[in-house]
Amino acid sequence: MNPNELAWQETLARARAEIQKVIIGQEQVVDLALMAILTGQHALVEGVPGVAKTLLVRTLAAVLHCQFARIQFTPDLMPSDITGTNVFNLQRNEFTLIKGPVFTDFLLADEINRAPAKTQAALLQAMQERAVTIDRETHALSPNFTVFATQNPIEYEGTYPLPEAQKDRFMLKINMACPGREEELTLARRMLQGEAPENVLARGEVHPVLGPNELQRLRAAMEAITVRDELVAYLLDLVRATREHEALLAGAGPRATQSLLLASRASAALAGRDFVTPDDIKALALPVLEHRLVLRPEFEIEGLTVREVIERILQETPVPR
Amino acid sequence: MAARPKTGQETGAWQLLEEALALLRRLPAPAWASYAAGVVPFVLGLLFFWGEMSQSALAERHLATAALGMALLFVWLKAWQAVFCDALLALQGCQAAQNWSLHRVARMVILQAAVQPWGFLAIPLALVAALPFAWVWAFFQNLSVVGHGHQSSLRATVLEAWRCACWAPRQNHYLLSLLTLTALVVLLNWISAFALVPYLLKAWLGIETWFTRSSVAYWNLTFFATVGALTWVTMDPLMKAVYTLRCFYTQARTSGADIKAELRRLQSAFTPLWLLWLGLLPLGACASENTPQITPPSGSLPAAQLDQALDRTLQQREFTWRMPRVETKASAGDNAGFLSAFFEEIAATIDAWWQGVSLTLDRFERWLDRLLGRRRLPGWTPDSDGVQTDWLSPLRVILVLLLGVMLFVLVKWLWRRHRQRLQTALAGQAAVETPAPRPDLQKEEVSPALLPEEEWLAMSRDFAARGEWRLALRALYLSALAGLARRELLALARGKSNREYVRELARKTHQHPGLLEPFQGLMQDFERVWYGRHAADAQLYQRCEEHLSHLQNA
Repeated sequence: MNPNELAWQETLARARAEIQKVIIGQEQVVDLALMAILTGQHALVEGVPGVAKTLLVRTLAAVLHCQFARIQFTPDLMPSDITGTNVFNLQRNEFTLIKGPVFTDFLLADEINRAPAKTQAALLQAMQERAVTIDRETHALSPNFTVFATQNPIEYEGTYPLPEAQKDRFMLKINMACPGREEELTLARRMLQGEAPENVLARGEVHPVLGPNELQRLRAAMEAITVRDELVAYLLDLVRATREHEALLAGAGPRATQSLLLASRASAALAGRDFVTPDDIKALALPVLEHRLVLRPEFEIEGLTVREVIERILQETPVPR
Repeated sequence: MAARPKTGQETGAWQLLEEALALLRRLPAPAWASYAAGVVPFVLGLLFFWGEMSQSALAERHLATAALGMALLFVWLKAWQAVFCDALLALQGCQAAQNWSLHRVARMVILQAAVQPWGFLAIPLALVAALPFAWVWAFFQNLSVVGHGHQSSLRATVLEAWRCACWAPRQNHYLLSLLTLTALVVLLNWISAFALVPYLLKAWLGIETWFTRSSVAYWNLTFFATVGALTWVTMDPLMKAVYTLRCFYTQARTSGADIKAELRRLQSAFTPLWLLWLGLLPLGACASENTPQITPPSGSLPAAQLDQALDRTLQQREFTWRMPRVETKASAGDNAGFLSAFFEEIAATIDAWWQGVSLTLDRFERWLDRLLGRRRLPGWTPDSDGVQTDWLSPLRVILVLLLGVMLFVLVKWLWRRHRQRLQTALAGQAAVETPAPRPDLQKEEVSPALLPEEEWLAMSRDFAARGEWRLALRALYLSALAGLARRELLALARGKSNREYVRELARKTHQHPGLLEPFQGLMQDFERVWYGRHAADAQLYQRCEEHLSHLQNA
């Protein structure tokens, strides 16, 4: 094992240990969130209320030494509430920028589908370019700017489904299920002992594992991870198969190819490897592709799901070995 | 029923309708069975086709096959409808239906298949044009009646059907109007039945259905298709009976068939009265003492035979009112008590059932004997089950045909299987004789199934001897996979990744716990070298060989 691999493993092991002080279980969810951060991308988090979506992002910010901001999306939220606005200062006789919550490192867009498309679109430029334009003036955002948008999978009344272009901006979708029995039992016991996850975080017991600029260095290190040409071709075959599949109305675009490639690298890093294997790609195909694909209505009526289509594609595409 | 007018005169629509209903009431069960044999598969097929084509996402894929199936079912329906109409015609003519020879069945099927499908084009066109509809409709109905395979040619059948369709147009129009109104009433009946039954089920039995949850459930094409199909099934026998009668009376104008039928009917009705009259003659003679004795002429019926005939006639249902009431006497069994009487009754019922079953089995055996051309059993006479002969003849032909087709398919399947086995054996022999060419390991599309494990191992050692460690490791790993597949611990698939193989092995290695660790070790080393481009050397190769050795020995 080379020193580079050892450094990753050590840093990521410490980060996981700190996160586990607050988040009980949910190892896969934590890994997927870390992948989004390590690749400088954004994630869509879907889960029923009370599964610690907000707490996860706050903990990640604390562990990775980043700023955290939260926006509760509502139907009357305006784009300027997100980006900020220029306010006229009577004393100085000039406009002063009041920065919105978007000027942060980790932004939690809570229940993003509660706001209309116009407000959702305010995030598009920020997510893609890490910059916002306010009154014709473009302002750069933090290089660590990462959006975690949450959605409730059961309440659709009074919501505005995310447009395909917006969904494509999210590298992966993280499904947060309810914790298992043992995990929930641990949570209950900790509550009784006054060790509730929120209290642990509030008391500052979670220590940052990275310095102010170390996240950038960690991201740069991702580029050293080897991805063989055959694996890139395999990944491309998977993505292209979604465009030709008879059950799919809209397949995944080129941004999905990039996302899957980046996520696979991050997955290899989290596994302590400096090379990507077909297993990394297969494991991430579902989180990366599922929210991007649109099923044809006639197949949806037949009971087919996007998950099943992706699984079939994975079974049918030959793995390079 | 009103008296029929003379031959050649046009009867009223109501009268014909009434006569058709009477005809259907007298129709024997086998004829109804023949009708059901045609209609039930067709309607089920139609509903399935409708549902599949209107709702399934894969409709286009199955369209051609399903359409072919529907076409075959249509011909099947029309053939059985012709059989049904033939039975109706025979009943109306008071004569036995003619036997269905193979030649006749084939001619009838060809005729129906050739002409009836044109109805799908002609009837809608006639309906749009409105005026010629009644003639066109009657023509296609008549085809079922006259297209029973008796006519010498297709042209003669078509001309005959058209001739019958052109007869009594006013009656035809009245009939169509009445039948349409009846069909509407029947349709409303079916709709109300479908609408009410779910609510009654819920009210009485508490069974919740889609229809009780939401009345919107009624508004779908399948529901209307079902109701429409049921209406058609209800109305079609009446339609066939009406047009059979029309054809019968049209043909009777030239053949006098109606008079012959009337005579046959009178003959069969007068026979018991004639016997009664013969029986009463001597009684009347004895009643009068003054009347001189009349000696029976030589050659007349003997007294015993006459008494027997008289008794038989008086035992008939129509004359039972003439019989004096017999005082029923209590039998010895009546004193046995209600419990034993109850069990005796049950025993008697079972005995009656058993006799019925025996009789049916006996009939079936005789039918089978006749079908297979075996010697007829003593005591069997053609008249004893002459009723069955009419409808069993086409069935026999179909059964023989089906048996022939099944035999052919079986022989063909056995022959193909034999050839496949032969080819596989030859291919295996050839494979043993000539070793498979070694695949190029530089290429990605190499499957472990291409070579046996020994070949992969030999290949690996060859590469190791040349110092090509990466390829040697790859061949070693493929050898491990081929070996595990041979031992049926893994199922090779091109879409499976290495960790999926590990998971599969973990599930199957309860008996061999030592398998998993060496396989994982080998896989990790292979992945580091193959996917990670890490350097490989003799030491690493040696370690991987040890893993393989553990794997083989576990």
